[in-house]
Amino acid sequence: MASYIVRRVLMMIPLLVLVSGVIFIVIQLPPGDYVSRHVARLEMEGVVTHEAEIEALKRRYGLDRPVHEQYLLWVRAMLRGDFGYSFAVRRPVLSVVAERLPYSIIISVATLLFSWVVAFLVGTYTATRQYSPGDYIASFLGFLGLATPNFMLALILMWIMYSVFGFTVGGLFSPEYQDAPWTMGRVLDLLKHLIIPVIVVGTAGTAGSIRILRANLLDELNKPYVITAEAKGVPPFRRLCKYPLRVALIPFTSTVGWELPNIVSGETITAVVLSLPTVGPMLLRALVDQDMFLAGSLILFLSLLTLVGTLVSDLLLAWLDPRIRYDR
Amino acid sequence: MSFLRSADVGYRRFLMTDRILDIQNLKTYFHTQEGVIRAVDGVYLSVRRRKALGIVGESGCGKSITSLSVLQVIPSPGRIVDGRVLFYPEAESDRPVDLAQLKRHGRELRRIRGKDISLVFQEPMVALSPVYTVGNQIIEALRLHEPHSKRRARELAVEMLDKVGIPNPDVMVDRYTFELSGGMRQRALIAMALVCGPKLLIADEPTTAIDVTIQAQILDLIRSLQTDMDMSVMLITHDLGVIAEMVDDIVVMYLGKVVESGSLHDIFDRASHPYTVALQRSIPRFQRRGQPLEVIRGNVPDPYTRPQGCEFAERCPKAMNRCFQDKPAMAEVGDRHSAKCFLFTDEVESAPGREANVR
Amino acid sequence: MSDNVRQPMLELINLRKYFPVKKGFFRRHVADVKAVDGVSFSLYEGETFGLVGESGCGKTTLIKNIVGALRPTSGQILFTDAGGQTHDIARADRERIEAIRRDIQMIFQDPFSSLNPRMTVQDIIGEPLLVNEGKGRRASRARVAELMELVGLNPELLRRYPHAFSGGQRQRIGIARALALDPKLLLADEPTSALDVSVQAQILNLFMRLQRELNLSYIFISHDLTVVQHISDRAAVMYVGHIVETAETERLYVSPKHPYTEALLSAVPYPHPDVKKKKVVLKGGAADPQLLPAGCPFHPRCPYVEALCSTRFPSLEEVTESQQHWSACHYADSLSLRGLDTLEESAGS
Repeated sequence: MASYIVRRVLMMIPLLVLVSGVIFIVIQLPPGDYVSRHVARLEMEGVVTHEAEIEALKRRYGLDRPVHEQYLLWVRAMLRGDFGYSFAVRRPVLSVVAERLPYSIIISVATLLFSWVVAFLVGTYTATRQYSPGDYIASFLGFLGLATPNFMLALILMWIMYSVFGFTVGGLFSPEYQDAPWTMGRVLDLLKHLIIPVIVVGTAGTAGSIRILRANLLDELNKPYVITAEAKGVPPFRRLCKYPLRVALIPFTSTVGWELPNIVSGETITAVVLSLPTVGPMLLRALVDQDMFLAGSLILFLSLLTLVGTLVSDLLLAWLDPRIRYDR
Repeated sequence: MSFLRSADVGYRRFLMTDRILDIQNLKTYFHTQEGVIRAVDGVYLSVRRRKALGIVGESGCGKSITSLSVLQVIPSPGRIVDGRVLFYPEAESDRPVDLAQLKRHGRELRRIRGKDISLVFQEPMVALSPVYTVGNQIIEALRLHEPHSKRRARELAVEMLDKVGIPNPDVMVDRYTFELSGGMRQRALIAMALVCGPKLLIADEPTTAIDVTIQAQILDLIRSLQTDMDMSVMLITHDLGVIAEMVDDIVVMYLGKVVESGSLHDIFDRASHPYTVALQRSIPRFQRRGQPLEVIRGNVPDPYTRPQGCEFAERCPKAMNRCFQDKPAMAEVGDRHSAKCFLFTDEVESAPGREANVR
Repeated sequence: MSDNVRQPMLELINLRKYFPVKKGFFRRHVADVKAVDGVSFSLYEGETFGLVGESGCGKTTLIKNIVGALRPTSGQILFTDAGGQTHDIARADRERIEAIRRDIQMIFQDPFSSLNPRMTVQDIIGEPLLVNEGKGRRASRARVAELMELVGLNPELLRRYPHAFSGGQRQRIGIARALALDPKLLLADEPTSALDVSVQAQILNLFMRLQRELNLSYIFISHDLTVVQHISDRAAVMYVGHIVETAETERLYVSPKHPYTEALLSAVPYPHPDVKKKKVVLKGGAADPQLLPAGCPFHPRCPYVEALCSTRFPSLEEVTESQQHWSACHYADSLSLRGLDTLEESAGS
């Protein structure tokens, strides 16, 4: 088991290198760079720019060098903890990211937990009560959730919250807590504001997960080993949890890896609608502005998040399924 | 004994010996969206104490569902809709427990499952959970019925593994099923079934998925444990060879019904029902090498429709006109030997309403 | 036509197929699974050659090599086509193998998973015609109907999908597909194992009739000795990658010359209660082809084991007293082993 974990962690290093390379190529793909865009904008505003000035700017950011050198410079800087400078925000990338990434992580993890708990309960219920009214209702709501666009759901929920509960949504904090230090009250306020984003972002994934778990469990329920367990006198609830459910959770768990990036990208539009201070909208802007260091770092952080997610799901899998543990 | 029909004299005599299990008019149906599958449709059979009964038949004849119905471990949406499963734990003079009357998820039935009556499934690969060790699953079976400490239960599990011939039982107890060979898995499964010392072992195709040399070992094992542990055995198989080696009595099933029952020799030397006869002739034998085998014409009909007359009439070489209209009653063709065929009786199987007094 | 004039249509010479085993962090090549390890035999036109053995003995790997689905590690597979030309399948290029494949077709065990559920029977049987001869549905209809009739299926059902057919009928569809290109050789891998005995009888009869009518040759694989015995002219017994005994079927079953054959024969439950065989119950399971014991691979389970068996590997040698009968046992000539013949007589059937 230990060697499996070590192997699995070591495997992340070449993956990260590869990912960073791909990211760099992708953000270099659009013609031009931030400096040329900046210059173009200045010229449109009638400001005369000197060739030397532009060259100085380019040199400062290493934009005059060949692409592979730029990449190496970027990586070397990152290894020292220097993630570059955001042209658009005019602040070091790290400080910009540090401000927003935690909220993204909080929303993602909360969404994932919400999605799991709901999918687990509903999936188990619908599989064990196949074709019951509850199963049909859950399936109907699930398909509705899959089919409704996130921003629409966000708007509907905002309206309901406002008109029924008189609760203003938007952002992650009420105005009085916006810049307050961390207290119990602020945490509660955050949690309250999390409810809608989590529901909005998590609905589609939850609906999908319910279907997955339901199908897996239905496959397992009539397997001979479940019947064997029944035939030796294991009580129904304990039998369900110990035998088919555990095996049904195996494919369910493996979804966590790709669920995380889904959540992050799904969150972007929601974050715009709900004005959440997360990385989604910022990434979008950075890409539009060709703010390469910011965009690159954000994508890299998100990739890291995905890799960690897959690692966690792989470890969970190995814990759930001895066949994986013993295979290596 | 009012539920017995007069035509079932042979059957009644058959019952004279001490029985441990007596199934009467068992019906297990599957209500699906496409229709009702009458998987088991009025089965009568008995297992004699300390004897082995074999149930033979081809796929779809209901032999497996019959065996699963005994403990009500039928896959959904199957359900027992009628009949009795009388279990006499100690002696036939005792009051029987009607297993069909007990609640499927109730405590009473759970107390019998795995304790008095155990089940060994075919395909040991899938009959044990892949995510728990062999020991975990055996210890669970033991501690459900007997209040042993964990350590004591583990000792007993190791002892049982040793008894079924698994080498290094104290190591193997911590292995997962995927680490064992097919034969070892089947042994482990048998160990789990026998760990509480059941009175009746139901073995559903216990050797179908394993190689012949391993099959010989497993059959040997079941036979010797049957004597050692004073067990009765109900063996379900499609393999007439296995049956010939293992059992005392045989019932032959076709389309959810018992078409012939009798002793081992009755069935092999004096097979009466045309289906039994045809089944035996379709096996390749050494002396008739290379010659065409006798075949049963046609196919098993689809599960949703049942013929109006005798279930086998469509495929029967001896079918008469009335075979297509009426269902024959079970008829005595010898001592403890009966067949369900108009060749031996004029009586018709009783109408469904007649069984009303059974429950 | 005397024996020395007859040329085999298929000849395997010292065929080996090893699968590498990789272990550890860098997936180093640490060992080989010797799935097929030095197998030689010949097959003549119109003949059925039976291959018996327990799971993992290499019989399926062996025939996959013959159809070119696997590349042998070493050895030759000489196939003589209708024009009298001999090709070595072991060394043929893709194109040549495609051409030879028209003559050599496979039939699989599981009639449920080997047919595409989304294709009609017509398309399934006609597929080889489409792929190899570019014949569309219309052009091949007559041929498909003819093939269906040949295997005992009602040609009116050609628009049906496989799920509408029973297991036995599906196996017939598989056979019709295999026959579409007029092959010379059929490789049948456990073709009746998933079927009920009464259906098995129908399929075996079909195999025998087709052989007579079309002059086909078969390699027939089964773990069921009674089936192989019924249909084969000659048979071979395999054990962990080796042929341990081969002879004309009757000879093999009546007077086996290898202890493993004897054990197999005695282990088959005989379908009559009066046949009380003195069983040779072998200890343990088949050897792991990755960790073969030294000497004879069967010696740890052999009831007649001698000191020599654990040190020297027995090659397949012709038995002195019995012609055209080869055994890979050091003591083939001296052991007196029991076969099947005495059993059936005592059954009085």
